Amino acid sequence: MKTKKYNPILLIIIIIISFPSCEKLVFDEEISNTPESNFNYLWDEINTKYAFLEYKNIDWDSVLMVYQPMIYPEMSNDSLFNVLASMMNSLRDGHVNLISPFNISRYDISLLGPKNIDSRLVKTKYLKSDYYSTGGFAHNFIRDSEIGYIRFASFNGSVISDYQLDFLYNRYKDCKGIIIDIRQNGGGYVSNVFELLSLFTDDERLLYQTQIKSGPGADDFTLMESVYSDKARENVFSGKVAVLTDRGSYSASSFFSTCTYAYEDVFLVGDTTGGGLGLPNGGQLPNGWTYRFSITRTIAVNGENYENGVPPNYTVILSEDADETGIDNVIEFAADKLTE
Amino acid sequence: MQKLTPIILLLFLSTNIKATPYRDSSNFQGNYIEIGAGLGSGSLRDMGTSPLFYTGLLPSVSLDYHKYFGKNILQFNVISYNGIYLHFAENQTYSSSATQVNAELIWYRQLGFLGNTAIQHQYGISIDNYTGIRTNQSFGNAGFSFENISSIHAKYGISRMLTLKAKDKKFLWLIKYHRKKKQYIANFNVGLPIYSLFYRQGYTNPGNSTLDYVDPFEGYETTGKFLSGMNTQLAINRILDNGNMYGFSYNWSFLTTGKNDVNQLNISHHAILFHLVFKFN
Repeated sequence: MKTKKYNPILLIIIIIISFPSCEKLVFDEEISNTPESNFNYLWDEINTKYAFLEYKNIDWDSVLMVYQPMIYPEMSNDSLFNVLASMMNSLRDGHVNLISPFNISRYDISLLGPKNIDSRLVKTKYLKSDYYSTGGFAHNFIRDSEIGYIRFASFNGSVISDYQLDFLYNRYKDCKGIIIDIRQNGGGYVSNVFELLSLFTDDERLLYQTQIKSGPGADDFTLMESVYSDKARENVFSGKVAVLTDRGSYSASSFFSTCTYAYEDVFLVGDTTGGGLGLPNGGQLPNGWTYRFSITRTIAVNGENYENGVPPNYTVILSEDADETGIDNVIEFAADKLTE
Repeated sequence: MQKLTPIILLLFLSTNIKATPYRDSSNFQGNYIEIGAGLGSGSLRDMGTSPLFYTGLLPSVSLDYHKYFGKNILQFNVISYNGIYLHFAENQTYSSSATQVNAELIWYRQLGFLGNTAIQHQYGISIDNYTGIRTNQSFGNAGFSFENISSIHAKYGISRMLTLKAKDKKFLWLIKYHRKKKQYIANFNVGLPIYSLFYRQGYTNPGNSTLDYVDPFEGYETTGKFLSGMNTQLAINRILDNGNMYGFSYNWSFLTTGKNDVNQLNISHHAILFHLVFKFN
């Protein structure tokens, strides 16, 4: 009986040609790019990964009921963007953004509170024209050099250096106290929080605990990880420190404010911060637009979650007539407390 | 690199002068070092950050060591892909830079000796480690991605010697020349990852850490998967008289965490490489 011989070379060529199709069989197909699929994808991502639905008491299913009927196949990108952005803003979170080529959505926490700083007033009456500019710090003496006033407008930009902190220490080490003004400081690098804290940290102490969303359930988080101040500097300011805050003190500024709860000689003056203690990550929709929302949560040393804002030790709101009187009563209150 | 090229070529043509010229199967023994370079393409989707497939054009280099002893073949190879993955959507281009390296240690057992005219079958096992580093600025804090995948593979290969006999020929039907006898070895192999360990982002990717120290791998997890992909290579090399070789290979591989994975990772590569193979005794 004659057996039929196969041609192995031909067999290999057939296999090779069919390979690229092979991987497509194994991989899931790409999600279609329609208004409905984009909406559903975003809603589901937030539903399963956003860290604060339960904390903020948001019924995400009811949000679906509100916004899903607004989606229709022929809608324009602009209309789709507005629906998605409105849905995201129902999270009431400054760390939530939708980014398209033509617009970026935002939820402006700073507008939720009263105006609590007059930058021109700070510059003319407190920093004055001879203020020092050291890295991101604008600073000068106030109250006959009894107090050091340090304005820190952003945790972004460059990393705070030891040289800068040494300079601040040497300039204000003999003061009764220093004021660190982070009003309207929208945040930035969390690493700068630890650097700034090292100005008055002489030991290792628990600052806060953090967790990462680890599953679709409301309480699915990784184990708490404790974060300590571990940088004991040679030059540490030993006097009292007042930190000025308002609703515009967001993200890294709220981290800094939360950390002050771990220090006996540091107190907060002003308005509740904007919060934003969840770290936002990023993602992409089937149409290419990107988004971000918070996927971690932070617990202060007193066990509280201050995602909605860190309350001050002393609530002081800027007087409506501050511009006329030329007095920033928030700074004055802090200075009074430091010199008591 | 321009200065190195003639040196490599000179080495390629001159080394192994003392080597026994390749004549038959039993002489296909010893140590070989292979360097390769070429161009690859790849597609990638990491649903931890995006449901979209990104397509990349990836220059590729490889370095292999083969040791033939008895009916055994020991092989260690490293291949790297470096380039940019792109996705085009609604007049926008989204890009992700990538560096990917795969190292594999393989042991084959041959059925018969290489060099016989019949097809030779090889069965074996391998362990490999794949590392991928990607950055995509569009994803903010999740812009940095890292994955490390270690697998144990079942391997199968077939090889065949091919000979073009000496012949008088005409170039363009005009110029007479004598074609020398040429010998080639064609090889095809396939590997199936029996079990793989994926070390990559967990349920979410916080990226930039809220810790007081830098930890780009915060929230990363290790998960195990069975039969997570496949890798193959089809290669043909011309064997020179001194035992050295040169040739081309087509490499294809894919990896997936599976359709049921929340943050599916799908990676595939296609690459055509040119090789120089040096024989060492």
